[in-house]
Amino acid sequence: MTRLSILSNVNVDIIRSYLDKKFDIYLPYGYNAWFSEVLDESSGLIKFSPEVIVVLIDVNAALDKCSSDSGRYSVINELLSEINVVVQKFQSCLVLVNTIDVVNRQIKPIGMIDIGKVLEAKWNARLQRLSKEHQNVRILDLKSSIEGIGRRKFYDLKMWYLGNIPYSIVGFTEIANEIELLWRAYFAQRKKCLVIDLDNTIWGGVVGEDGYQNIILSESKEGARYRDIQKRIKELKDLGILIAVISKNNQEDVRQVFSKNKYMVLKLKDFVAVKANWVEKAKNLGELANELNLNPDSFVFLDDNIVEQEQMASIFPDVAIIRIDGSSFYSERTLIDAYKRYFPTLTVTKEDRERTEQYKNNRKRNELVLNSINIGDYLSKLRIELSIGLASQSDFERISQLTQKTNQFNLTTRRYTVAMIDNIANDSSHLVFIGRVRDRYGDEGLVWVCIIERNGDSAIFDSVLMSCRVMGRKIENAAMAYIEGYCKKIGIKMLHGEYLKTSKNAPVEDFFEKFDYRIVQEDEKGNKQYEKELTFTLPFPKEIKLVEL
Amino acid sequence: MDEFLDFVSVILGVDKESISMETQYGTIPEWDSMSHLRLVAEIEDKYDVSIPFDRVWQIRSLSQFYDYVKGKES
Repeated sequence: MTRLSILSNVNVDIIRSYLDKKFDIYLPYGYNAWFSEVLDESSGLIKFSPEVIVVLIDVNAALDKCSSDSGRYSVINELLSEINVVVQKFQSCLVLVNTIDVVNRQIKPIGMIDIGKVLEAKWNARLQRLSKEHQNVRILDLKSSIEGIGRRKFYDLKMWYLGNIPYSIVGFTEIANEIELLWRAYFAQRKKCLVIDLDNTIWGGVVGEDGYQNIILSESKEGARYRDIQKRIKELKDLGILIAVISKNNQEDVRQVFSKNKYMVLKLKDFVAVKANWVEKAKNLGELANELNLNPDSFVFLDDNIVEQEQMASIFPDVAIIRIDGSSFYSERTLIDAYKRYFPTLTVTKEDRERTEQYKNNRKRNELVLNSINIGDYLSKLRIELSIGLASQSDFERISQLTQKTNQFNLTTRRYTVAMIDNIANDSSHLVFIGRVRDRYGDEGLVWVCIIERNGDSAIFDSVLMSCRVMGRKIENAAMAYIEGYCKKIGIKMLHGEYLKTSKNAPVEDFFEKFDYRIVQEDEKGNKQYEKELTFTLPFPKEIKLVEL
Repeated sequence: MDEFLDFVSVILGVDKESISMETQYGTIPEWDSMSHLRLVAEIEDKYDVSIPFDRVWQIRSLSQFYDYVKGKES
């Protein structure tokens, strides 16, 4: 389990029970002990060695001691500088810092700007700067949570007076959910494809019966509910989530809605695939999974029909299923909740934005395979270009993302945050290589990562991984040939490899064998250690054009 | 009543068999002052009742909590 520590100036012990199924939790013990534990190198906090730190400050408790506005300013300044120390000290952790809600409880003249608003603005400005400067610092938006739920429900004054506990059960539950959401988003634990139905899902009515001009879909009133659903789906697509249609309909009817109904927000080109036919939906999904080279557990299925949902669940229990409730006016909520639950995202990379195009290009490549006489012929026709070399700062985000997401073509499955990649790349004993791939159908972006740790005249492969969508194109042959050549040039004589078996990385279990590495050790779990003396370098596949970065 | 004990056992993190309506504050290690407050908060939230401020520390047994759940006291 992930080690999480919550640093707070008030009693937040209750939150433990809402998070302890997912996290090992450490709370500094004792009133206001949080900051001294940050400073003290022998404290329980430092020994615990947290991976996630939540700074959950209740400023009202801190401000309560002040009687003047200048006193309030200095309390806020002091807290912010303490937070700064936390950020400096825990650079390899995910650090979540809360926004504040200053509650005015004093009796004082009315009709003036509330000092609380000024303090909140100051706090927010600092947090915004911190989160811009530090990839690992993210904002826990307590203020928005309180606004959504309302102060009366969020705070619990009785618990405050009884035990220094500021929030209600509702409040703590909300905070716990937000923490979990940010954590999942940071470590990119998300699904990849949203599969949607059409009738009574993204428009009202049945197009096959009502016709494309009579379905319920409009700018305002009843049809706006569906238009809002479409807007939310479009936003998901723009965040790099693939969207596809699986619907029992005539293809021609569907095409007409997309091309002729002017209220459609979603366009055909937004979808990675549209399967409008009368085949069982699970069968369509199975085909789609094959075409996109994704596991069923990467899919979320949105449908209004409970029978369809149950059929899908019986055949693909790993597909997540969500339902549009036709009787509710707030159906877009289903999408917003689905986003939080299955697709949370903190940042969007270039690769994310171009994902739909890339998967579509892949389908074109598959067609090319069918028209080629052999693999060499196919690869030559593809005109692949591999740009490879050492990573630079602007690649770190994507590298981290790949280490977090790649399961199949991943030799060691080591997961790294952006901050960790930053450390590794700036460490003189490590080399971080990246490869970008382009071919006649488009740009795949950064799809290959290899991290090497050098030790004198030998080196070990810490990580070797590749996005699974470029598998089967000899990219790895070209990349390994380049990397071995690079190593030889800088005086490395011996290379060590490692394969750490997981439930998903069977596709690369013979990776090092393929490149003539010798097994030096193999354990009962299937983990293997290799070595190879660098006398010859590997042949470079002639179908691939190499560009050195 | 059974459901109430279920609920309490989850909050205290104990086996349901190890508590009864007669269980007293402080007689099991899991029921300390912190979890006492948590019981107050969770019971108020779940059963939509309010335990008066000045009665919170007078509650000594689970049956006294249950009186509020049933609405005997208010």
